[in-house]
Amino acid sequence: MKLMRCPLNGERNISEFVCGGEVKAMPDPDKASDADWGRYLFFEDNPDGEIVEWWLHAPSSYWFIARRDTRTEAVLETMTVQEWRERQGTVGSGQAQGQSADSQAHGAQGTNG
Amino acid sequence: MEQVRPQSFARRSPIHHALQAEGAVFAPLPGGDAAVAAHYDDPAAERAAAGRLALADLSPLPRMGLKGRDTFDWLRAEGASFEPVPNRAFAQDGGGLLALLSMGEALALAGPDGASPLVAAMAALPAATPGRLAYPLPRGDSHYAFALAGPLWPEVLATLCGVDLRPAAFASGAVAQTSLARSNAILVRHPGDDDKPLFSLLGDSASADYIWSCLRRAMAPHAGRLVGTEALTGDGGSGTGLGKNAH
Amino acid sequence: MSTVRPEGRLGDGFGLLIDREGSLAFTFDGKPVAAHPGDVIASALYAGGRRVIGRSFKYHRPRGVASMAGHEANALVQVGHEPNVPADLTPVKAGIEVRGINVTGSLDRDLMAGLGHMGRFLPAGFYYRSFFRPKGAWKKWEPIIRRMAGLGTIAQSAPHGDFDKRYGFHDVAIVGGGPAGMTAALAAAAGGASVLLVDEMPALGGSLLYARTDEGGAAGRRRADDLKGRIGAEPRITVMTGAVATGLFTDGWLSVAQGSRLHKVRAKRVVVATGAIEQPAVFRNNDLPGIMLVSGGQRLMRLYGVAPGTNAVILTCNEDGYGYALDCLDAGVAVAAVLDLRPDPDGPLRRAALARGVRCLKDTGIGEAKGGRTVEAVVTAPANGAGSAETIACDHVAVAVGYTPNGALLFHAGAFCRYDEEQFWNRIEDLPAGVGAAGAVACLWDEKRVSDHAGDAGGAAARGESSPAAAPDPAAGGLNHPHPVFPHPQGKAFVDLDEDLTIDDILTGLKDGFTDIQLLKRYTTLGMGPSQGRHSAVNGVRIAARATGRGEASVGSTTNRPPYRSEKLGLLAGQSFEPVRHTAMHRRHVEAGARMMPAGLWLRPAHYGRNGDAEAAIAAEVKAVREGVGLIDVSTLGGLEVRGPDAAEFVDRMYTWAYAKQKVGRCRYLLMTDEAGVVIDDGVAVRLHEEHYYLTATTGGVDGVYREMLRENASWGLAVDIANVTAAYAAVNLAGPKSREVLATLVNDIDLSNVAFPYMEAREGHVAGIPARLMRVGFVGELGYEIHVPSLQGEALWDAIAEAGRGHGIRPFGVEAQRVLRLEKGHIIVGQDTDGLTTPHEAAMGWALAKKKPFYVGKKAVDIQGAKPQERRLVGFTLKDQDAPCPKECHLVIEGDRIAGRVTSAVRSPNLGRVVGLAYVPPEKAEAGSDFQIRIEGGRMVEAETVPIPFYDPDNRRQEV
Repeated sequence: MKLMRCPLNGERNISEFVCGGEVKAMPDPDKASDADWGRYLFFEDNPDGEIVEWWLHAPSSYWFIARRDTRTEAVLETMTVQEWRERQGTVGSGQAQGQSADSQAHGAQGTNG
Repeated sequence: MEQVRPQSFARRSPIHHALQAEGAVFAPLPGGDAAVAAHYDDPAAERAAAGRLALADLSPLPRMGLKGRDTFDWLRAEGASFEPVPNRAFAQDGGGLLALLSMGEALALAGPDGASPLVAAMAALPAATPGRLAYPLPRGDSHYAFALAGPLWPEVLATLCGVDLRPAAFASGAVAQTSLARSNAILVRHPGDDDKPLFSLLGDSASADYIWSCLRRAMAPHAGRLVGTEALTGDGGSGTGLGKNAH
Repeated sequence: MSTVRPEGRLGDGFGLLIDREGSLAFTFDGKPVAAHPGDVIASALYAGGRRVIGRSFKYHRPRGVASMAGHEANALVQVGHEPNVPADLTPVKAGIEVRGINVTGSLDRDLMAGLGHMGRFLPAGFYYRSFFRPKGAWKKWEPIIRRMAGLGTIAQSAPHGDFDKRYGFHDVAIVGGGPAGMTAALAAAAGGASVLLVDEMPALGGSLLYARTDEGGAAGRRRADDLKGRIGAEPRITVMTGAVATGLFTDGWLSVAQGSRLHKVRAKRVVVATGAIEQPAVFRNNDLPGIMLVSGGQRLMRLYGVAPGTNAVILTCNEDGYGYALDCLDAGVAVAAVLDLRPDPDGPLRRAALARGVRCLKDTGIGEAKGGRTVEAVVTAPANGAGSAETIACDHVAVAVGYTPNGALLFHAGAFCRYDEEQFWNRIEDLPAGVGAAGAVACLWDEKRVSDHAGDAGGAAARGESSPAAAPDPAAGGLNHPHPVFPHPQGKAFVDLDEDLTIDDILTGLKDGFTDIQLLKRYTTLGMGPSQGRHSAVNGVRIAARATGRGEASVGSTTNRPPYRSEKLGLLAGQSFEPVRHTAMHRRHVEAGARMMPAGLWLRPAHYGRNGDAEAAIAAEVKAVREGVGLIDVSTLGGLEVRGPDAAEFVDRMYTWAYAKQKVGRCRYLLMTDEAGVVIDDGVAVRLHEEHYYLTATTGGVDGVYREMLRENASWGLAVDIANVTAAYAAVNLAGPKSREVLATLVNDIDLSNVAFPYMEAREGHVAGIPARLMRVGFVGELGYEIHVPSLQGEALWDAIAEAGRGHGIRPFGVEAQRVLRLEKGHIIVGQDTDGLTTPHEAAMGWALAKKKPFYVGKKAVDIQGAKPQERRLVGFTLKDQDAPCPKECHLVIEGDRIAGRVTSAVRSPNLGRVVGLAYVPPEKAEAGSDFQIRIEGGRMVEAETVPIPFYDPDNRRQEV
């Protein structure tokens, strides 16, 4: 049973996690054509190599980002959403209102599911 | 003297039927809005079991959460004692425990004596105050709270939970948000004595009946005992109780 | 020759695992058998003189113990209710009823044994090619063949076993408690690690307990005692005996089965020291009872004190055969001859055997074995062509022609093997990080080399470092025979005992074109039996190599997957934890006679009156709501608190309608689409405050909605807090024309008049003294109040309302009645009336799409789809013939010969006296008055008509009073 390192909770059995799929940047809906939008919704890169994904630690409802190698299944790195956004340089308007993305990524201790 | 029953109050533990079936004797909470199981049929044996393997329901006790960017600022302003580290719990002067679930979320629990100024302060907060980015959460209703007393619990919980709960891996004041018997749960090892450890187990209140029966079944081969709040307080031991000055 | 022999156990130095003073009794095929505590079933049977303990899979040939270690399936028996128990590994328990399996008749006289003569018709893969003509023949033959094949029987009436699981955590886990494993464990513990040492046998020691490497014969046992003593004194080592490591998974996750408990162990480092498996020789009739591996005979004698026979022939190519000769002499078993395949053998044990008068032949092998139900003689054959044959009488044959590393766990972890063409065994390579190998499984043989290397491996594991690789050990040169396969013109030389495969079967597979080892395995079933190739894979590769002119290394080999030994399903199931969620009012529903039904993890009342007529109960509940007052527990509905300066903006982005301008105190319908524009959830938004919305969601959808909200806002970074408070609130819907009257007796701080508290508004106050949020919403189409209170006070609320309503004939109503009521109003249920593709336009929900919002999740896709012609529409319908049966969900709308839609909900409405429902129809049928046809049960067609919704109270007056 694989181990996954959650940035908040530390190393845990992967059964505590849910994969949220590849991190995809949303095109501007006002500018994108219908075909572009369809590609954004329904096509995946499916890389043979490194992929960046959303992962959820289910018991704490905590979202974070993982870089994974699809060839070896090795998890190369996990980081907070905040850190990922900083690397992308997309930390911006939302921050002006002062909420750290990290505290947003963590929801209240959730119920089952 | 008329017996105190959970039904005498509007506010009742999610498992009060199970507790009554087990023969619990109830006492009113100091706040007077609920009854809690104070003891069963053998208080002396229950006090002894609290140092070995004992289970108590503390669900009716006061309990609140606070979440948002300003949570730690608010706690500091209230004079709470803590270090800003997630997944750690700190005993509070005036009673009770403060568990930090993340850098923006805290959970305050009162002790069996019902005293927790911190819980009272959180409960007094309006649901949403413009300018204050810290929001109270009704943890007293969304979560059950069980007290697991005694050093045998890590071994018993090893049949239910995939996190290593032994003292070397899960030290005094540690908090784990994980899955127990396939249900989400928060486990806290209260700050204090490794010899007479006390754990709090919190989780979805709708699953309280289910989790209670899982714990009973897991305890059975080890001769664990059901106890009430009286077995957990006032015995002078530094780690067993949630009473005042338990550090 | 009699197959029954008198009992008698060997003396000192033998029978290490048995308690000679104790005795146990059990039965075999109905007859009593005596045993000692510590016996396994096979050793007790053997001691009692029974040689035939099984019948082979295909030919029903008599079989006996061969490895005494579960490395072949000869010894599978039925124990009470349990099929396929390995008799050579399973301890005797008093009173067990053991039976032979795979027989018709008795083990000694199996009526199916005649199949042995049909070998010509049953070659490898026969079921791909025969028994198919004439047409339909397979249908007749398949059940017969299936009955003839197969092993034990499953008793449907078997009682449930008690199983459980336990998590374990260690720094280092060592699998195998032989000399290498014990040494590695001590080294790891000395290095400060917490160590788990696992061994399959009831005692540590591994091969030290039975192998003979010295003249005196006691060196192994002495070494075992020394190592065991040191392990017992080391508190950091936890020992598990009688425990099988069944699988090694990622990141040091080891499954260990011990009794009826499955241990799930997480180790930072794992060292596999599982030893090597002795391999058989392939010659005609090599499967006769009495023919076993040298290690099998040694286990019988040393562990259980049972003599394997009275007169032995030993086939060998190494020192092990001579060690066995000395064992036999020590046990009082005569040795007729040792046949050495080597032209020029020498060694200390050979010399010791010669000195004790053992007849030792060289350059000689076995041409065939002879016997009826047990071996009675062997016919020798020269190892290298020239020479004469001799018939030697015997009642026991032991074979020592080499080993293969027992590397299954290493293969589980992703390692590969490469055949060493100098030492003639598979060297296991490419061990993943965190996994090491020690001892014979690493192809090490010399005692000192094994000990040194194992110590290094244990120490490295304790330091969290990689295990040192093991260089080839010269002492293993000459250990393994390169090709112990001796074909005979009359065949019946068995390569795989489990699958009854002979040399000819392998050659047939190769001739049929399956020369790739992966295909050869699957076509012939080589290595696919219970022992998974442990005794057959390597010889199979050798045969394939020689027949196709390749080296063994280039033929390659197949891998192993978990489990290493068969695992009972009960072990994997454990206690079957199945979470169930109760509302605060659960007990009240049960007390009131509700039939509870699952809704996700929750239990909800379907209807009340579980022992009576369900339809009548539901109709009565519906009537109570329409005419009087009813009460339903809706606690399971999702509840989300959205608070903060950006709360309105957030709700606007997550849902389709306009919420930013929603007034405080108002309710508004919530519709949620995903990014592809598909309807995924709905509910009601209550604005409690400028910066505070309370949102409801469906029971099944709320957890997913909550997660998506958190994920979206992790990207958006809005100043908003989202909390899932579903379990924090208990909720009821008090509904019916009398609901206001009833509620008024319980509420002092809210003006309940329609003017003060109109439809689609919310208020906060107290009901029966309990703090409450009240909402007027219209799901069931009557005057009603949804009341949300803290869940710990839910039961008290229920009781108070039930009491207050008693004089008004209040009735609890359940999910089934609620479904009828909402359907009469034409309200959709997301997930029932919508599917994985339903867009708002298809479901006639365009009214819930904001006209002017710049963005909501799914907007672009909804707009794209809205601009195209719709392919289907969800409409209300009724049947033209009021007496026609009511269609069921998913009955199809048929137009000519094509499927034109389907029914999503339908009910015979008590209030309207006719069938009403919702269905997807082609857009041209969406207009009221259109006709279409529904195909119901039995293929019958009924006529339907599109009608406007709501069906009941079309002007919605009743819910708005």
